[in-house]
Amino acid sequence: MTALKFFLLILLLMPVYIYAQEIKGFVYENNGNVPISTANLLISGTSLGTVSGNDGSFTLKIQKSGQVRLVVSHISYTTTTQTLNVPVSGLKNIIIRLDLKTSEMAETVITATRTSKKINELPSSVRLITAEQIKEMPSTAIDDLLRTEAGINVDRKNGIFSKNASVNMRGLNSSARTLVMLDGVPLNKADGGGVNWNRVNTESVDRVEVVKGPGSAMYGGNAMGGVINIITKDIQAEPAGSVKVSLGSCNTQGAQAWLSGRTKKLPKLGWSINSFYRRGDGYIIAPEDQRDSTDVKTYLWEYNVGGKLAYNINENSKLEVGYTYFDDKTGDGTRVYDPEGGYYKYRTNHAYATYHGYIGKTQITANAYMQLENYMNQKEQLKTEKTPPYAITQYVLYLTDSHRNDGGMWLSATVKAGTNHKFTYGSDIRLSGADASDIYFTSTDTINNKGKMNAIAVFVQDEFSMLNNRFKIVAGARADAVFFSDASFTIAAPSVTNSYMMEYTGAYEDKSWLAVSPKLGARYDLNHSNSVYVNYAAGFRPGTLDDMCRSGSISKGFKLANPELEPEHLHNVEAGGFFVINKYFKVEPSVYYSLGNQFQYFVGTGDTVYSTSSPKAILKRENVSKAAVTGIEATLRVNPGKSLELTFTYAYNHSVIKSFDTVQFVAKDLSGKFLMEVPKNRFTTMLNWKNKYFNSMLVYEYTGSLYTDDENLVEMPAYYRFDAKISHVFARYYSLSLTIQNLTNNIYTDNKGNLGISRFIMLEAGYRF
Amino acid sequence: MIQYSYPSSAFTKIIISLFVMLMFVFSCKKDNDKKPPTLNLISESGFIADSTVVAIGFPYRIGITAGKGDAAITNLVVTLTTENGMETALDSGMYSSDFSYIRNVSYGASKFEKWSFTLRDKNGKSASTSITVLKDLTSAFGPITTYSSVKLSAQDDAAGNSFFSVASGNLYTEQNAEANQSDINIITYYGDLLAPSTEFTLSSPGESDVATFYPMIANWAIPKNETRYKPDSLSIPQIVFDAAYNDSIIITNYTSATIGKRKFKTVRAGYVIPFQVTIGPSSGKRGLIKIKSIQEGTGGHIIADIKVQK
Repeated sequence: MTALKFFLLILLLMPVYIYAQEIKGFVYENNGNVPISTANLLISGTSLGTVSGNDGSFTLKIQKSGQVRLVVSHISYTTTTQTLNVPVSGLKNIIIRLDLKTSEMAETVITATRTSKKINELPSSVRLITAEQIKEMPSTAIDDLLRTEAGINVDRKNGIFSKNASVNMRGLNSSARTLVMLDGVPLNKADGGGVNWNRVNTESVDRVEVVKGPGSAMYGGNAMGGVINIITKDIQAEPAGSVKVSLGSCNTQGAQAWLSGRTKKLPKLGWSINSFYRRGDGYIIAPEDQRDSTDVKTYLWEYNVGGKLAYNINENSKLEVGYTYFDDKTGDGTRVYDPEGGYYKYRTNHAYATYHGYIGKTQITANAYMQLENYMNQKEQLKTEKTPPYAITQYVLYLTDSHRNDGGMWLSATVKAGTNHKFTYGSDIRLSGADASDIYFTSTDTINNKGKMNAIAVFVQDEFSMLNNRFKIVAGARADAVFFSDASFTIAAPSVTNSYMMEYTGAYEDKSWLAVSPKLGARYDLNHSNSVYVNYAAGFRPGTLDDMCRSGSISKGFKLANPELEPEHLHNVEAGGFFVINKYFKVEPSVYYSLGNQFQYFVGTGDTVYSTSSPKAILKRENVSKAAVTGIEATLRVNPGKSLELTFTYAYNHSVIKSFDTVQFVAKDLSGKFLMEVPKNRFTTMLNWKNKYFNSMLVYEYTGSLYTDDENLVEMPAYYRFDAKISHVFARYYSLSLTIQNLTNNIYTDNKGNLGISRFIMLEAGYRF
Repeated sequence: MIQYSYPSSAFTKIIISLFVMLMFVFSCKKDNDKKPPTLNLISESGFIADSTVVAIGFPYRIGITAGKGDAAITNLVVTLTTENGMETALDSGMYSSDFSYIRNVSYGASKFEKWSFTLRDKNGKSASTSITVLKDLTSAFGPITTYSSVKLSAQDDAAGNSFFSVASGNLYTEQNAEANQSDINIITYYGDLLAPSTEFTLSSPGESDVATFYPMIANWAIPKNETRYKPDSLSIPQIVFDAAYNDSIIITNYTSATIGKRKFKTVRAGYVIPFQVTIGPSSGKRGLIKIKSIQEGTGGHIIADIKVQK
């Protein structure tokens, strides 16, 4: 019996003996105490393993004491192997720390808070387009990179032959409602609010940061739908560079180069230069059945040359200066008599100086910049009678010659307070002006408009965390005082054609206003992989100088300058999150509601002007409406294997005019109408497949139907396109790539009846060292 | 072993300086160096010479020849300066290397008529010339015909007369206008169907919108009679109109330089509107229309006094 009892006891204890030792502990991120859940822990050479819990804890039972090799892995972290000596009593409270994988570490951005911050720590929707993605995407211009981002609508219907691209975000039409920056310098011009995307050399770009939702609390005007910051490559310690040549459809040729290094004699001094050139014959944008002898191809030539110098004052401080010159000319597709026909031309000089450094423990960044742009637009028109035989009544040739200056300086200081607070504060000064003339060659007139828009702002922000860094809050506000001055509209030597405008000429009174833009956001990490956030932010957009001091004919009638135009404001609330479903699926959803006040619209004054051609209704841009945007965005990333990556994005926007002031203004009530040029639905798919032979990317883009007019009378149908790129690197330094845009040759006709670009093929050869 | 000899620093500086200087010298052509267009008065037989003295109403001919300089000619402006000031006779856009411009005019009421011609090219360069014609102080103004209280109806007044002849003073209804199309110089309608709409409008058979209201005009013989109206309607007081017994006030207000419109869009009671018949058997005749009263609407009418050169 005793022997039997002993035998039974042995049997009972056998499992305990087999798994006699326990290893207990936690898996944390290497920086800080962020617990990592779903980390895989495996005893090397065995099938013994476990998965960490929400708080990063784990318990692993092993068969015997002694030395074991513990392999810890996670989808977002580098795998680590630790050798442990496990005593008979087991191990308790061991801490295993994992490093973020390089790709995850790269997801650090500076745009959202003006401080370096990981995307998954921010209480807002932020995206980063990395240098690797820029190389792989089937793009021919920098804005093409944004096509696959949820909530961003890129309009570049004529491809590289577009005068410019229009990029808008979050259900808000107009490029002026999205702030675009180049290395922190605003590219939106005070004159029209838009951005010249063509002037950025893609080869010099390191990454693009996208912060969705209003960003005026940090950056002031234009940041209503979001902020896009294009960040150029840093100066390299060792000589580095890349050169590319390209051949494409429409007899397009191009070259791009970027070089960087440091001088041997002055190792603290670094330099980089970049340049690109592109030309092409273009294509005829008029539909075939409507062409006449004045329709010609939209030609293009453009080049840019730039460089920067950086001097490392000491280990923590650096002074950098840079300069870029850009020049281009794009045909508008018409030519009557003049060999140049109608065209658009930009000449841009852009210079900046930046200082990064410390005063005590306070990190300082100071930046001064100046962007001088000379925009020219030559128009050549034959006016004919309205009835047969349509005799030519007038030939008009004129040039709009606009000089725009947008400069300023900003200072940002960041200091840590205690262990949980990081304060950022600073000031921002912007000096903008426009001086434009319509010079008529076919009559005596020169029509001038000019004005200045200067702003001074202060901002403050606190980033703090609680609950062992799992709960993060960002709060901030900015006050902008804006001054409109020195504005006038004049006509020199008016002819019969334009003399009707004389009664609207004169100088305008100075005006100023104040905008206060707060923000508050919170993010909570459910565990390492999953987090949720909520935020509120405000944005505003000042009136453009073009609307405030330029009168003249537009397609709808006669636009009268409105120097009394007030800024429009937007308040946005948002909730979203980041969820790792399993090692294959990640999803980033967000929902938001934006309410806009004092939105600017053209309204009739009730008067009519009688020009020589026809009577025209007088219109003025006024603050007449409230707009509301309800939106949903989601990005799903699928990683079925190392070589394959799929990204799906979807955005829904219900952007409507909530109320329209028809009491104060003579205008049709637009209440309930959808904002023009905003698709309700947008869907993209990006498939990236890498193998030992080539890298490839296929992008599908679906844009739902949208209205092209305020009254919602003209609805453009939905359209889709496929873009693809296949590339191969050989002999380490050399590359070949083939980009095909609009693969299925799905030709879009825009609201003006112009044809979008057909299938565009570009072959590139590159050398990189 | 090959020995390379490097240029001295001074040599390098000289080369760079020369290069920079050459860039400046051969860069853009300065504006002052650009050749302007050329402009000459035509002095052939049949063209009036400078300082010629003529009688009121004397027909004469002026003209220029133009040639391009370094850029195409894009604009010609012709002005007439008289005692009453300057009036633009032509402000025309073009893209041309060379051309001639000839104008047949008749002398007005002023002591002098100075015709000025200015050419501009795409480089902004210009050329000008002028010719002055003097009045024979012994000459007299011409006689006029007066039509009083003429009732001109809008399109929906079926029994009304919307068609008028300046030569005969005859009025025609829509029904009998067809048979008298060569006699018709002035037509009236209420422009509610146009976009944007106009109110009571003075027109003529050659105006493009008139067939919207009287469709049969679309099929009238070409060239259709045309009358042009001076857009400025308020510079002649009614009392001056009433006192006029010769064409002095007519030729002063509708000169050889006046650019008339094919229609006068929205007439009002009290307006005095200068006009000239430009195409048709009465071509060249000028006159004035005084609007005495108006009844608005498509079935309305105007009552007008009309004075025309004989």
